[in-house]
Amino acid sequence: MALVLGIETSCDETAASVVDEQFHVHSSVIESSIDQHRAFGGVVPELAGRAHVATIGPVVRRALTEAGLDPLDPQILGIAVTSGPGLIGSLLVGLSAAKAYALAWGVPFVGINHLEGHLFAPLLERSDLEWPLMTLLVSGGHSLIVLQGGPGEHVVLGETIDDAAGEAYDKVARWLGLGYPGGPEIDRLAQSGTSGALKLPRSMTGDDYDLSFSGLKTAVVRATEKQHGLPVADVAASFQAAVAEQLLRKLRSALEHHPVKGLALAGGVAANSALRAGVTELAQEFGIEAHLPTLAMCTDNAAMIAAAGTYRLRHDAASSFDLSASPNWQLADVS
Amino acid sequence: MSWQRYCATAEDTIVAGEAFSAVLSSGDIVLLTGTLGAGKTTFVKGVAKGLGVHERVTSPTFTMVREHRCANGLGIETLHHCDVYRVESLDEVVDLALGELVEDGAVALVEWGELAASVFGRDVMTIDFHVEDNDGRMLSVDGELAAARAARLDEWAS
Repeated sequence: MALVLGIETSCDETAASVVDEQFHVHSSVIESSIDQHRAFGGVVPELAGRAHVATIGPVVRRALTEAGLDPLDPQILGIAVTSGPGLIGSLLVGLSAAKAYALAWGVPFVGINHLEGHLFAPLLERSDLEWPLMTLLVSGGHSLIVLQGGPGEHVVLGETIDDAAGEAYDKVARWLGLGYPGGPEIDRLAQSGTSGALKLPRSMTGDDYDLSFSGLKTAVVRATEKQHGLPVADVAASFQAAVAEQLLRKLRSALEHHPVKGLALAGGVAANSALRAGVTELAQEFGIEAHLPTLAMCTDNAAMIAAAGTYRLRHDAASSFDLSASPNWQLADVS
Repeated sequence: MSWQRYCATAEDTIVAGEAFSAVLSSGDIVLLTGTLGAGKTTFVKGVAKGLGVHERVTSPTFTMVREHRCANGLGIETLHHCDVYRVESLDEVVDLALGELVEDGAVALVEWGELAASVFGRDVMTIDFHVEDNDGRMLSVDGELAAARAARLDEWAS
């Protein structure tokens, strides 16, 4: 069986996973340094880089062992590693490790775009996926609407013109004195708040598919400065509703213009309850299937990188050893 | 010595940034300070426009540094758009070596620059973004590098 080892170190998580050509996950190990970052209200790049150095070896060994492979000489087809986008110091740890293992074991390796990895996540949970697929990819660093014709075929219809959705969540949460990461905290508080309490502007009303969250963030900041004593739950509920409203409005428009068989969520913000409910409803309305990944698959993991690698190693050439990390690698530039 | 320019709207902030590109010379480092949502990234969008950057300028918070190729007659080939929002200690700013990025033909604009001011030394400009009661923004430029650009800043502020 052709197995691929995936390695992911683009942000907080040090992750390794073994996946086969049918996209069955044989192991998936994730070590997060998020507890170290929580105290600072965000990822601290230097901490993340150092944490990856300390954990990459043990994480890879565990992923191989749990997949029933010999960690010293695993019989694998190749290695897939995230080479961008992400924090340069963190990316380099994974990339260097992948090159070292590839040399030691005499197997090819391939650099994978982290965002393309997220697009492969639904395949890990559903082998009978019907294409084409409309995917909303929303995380701390990215926000895109992507039309997928099939595995490895994608067109970016729109993306954020300023902040990523998850970034706006984190910044608003920090502003309100809530914890990090901001998404789960705001989502939890929003359940007990009134979403109409704070009037927030509708943004990006044009008919393209681009997104924007900076204006919403600013509106929340200014409103809470002016109206002291606004219940935090109401602010959270209003902000959450406004973010979901924009995302769902743009998705609806994308679905109207591009008929597809399924609607998928990807990225860490896919854990958001308002977004999951809205996407489920939207898919029902269009008579298509909703693909809501489990939390483990929507957040950063190495199984999705291994899955993308399985595809890339089969269809493209392996990467050369002078491949360097690309901190700002755009999905649209993946060929 | 300090120069000020008032921006009533986000569009004004972009125009102010576009005009500010004419203040810059190769090798300049500009620190942008001010609260969340004060217009720092919006201003950089304008500067990028003025420097002839064709790609989209978005928040650099996630990757901390974004590099944009420029096409202009000013001798500035690269715009480094940096953001130290996530940085908590000065050691980390030193590790990022932002100062070294600004070799010949490049300028750097650093968001949340107040967190890193001491690392860059004195030969920088600072632009502070203040949110006024009427929601307009007052931009104030100062610093030793600003004094060296006094004639261009007089024009920018007028």
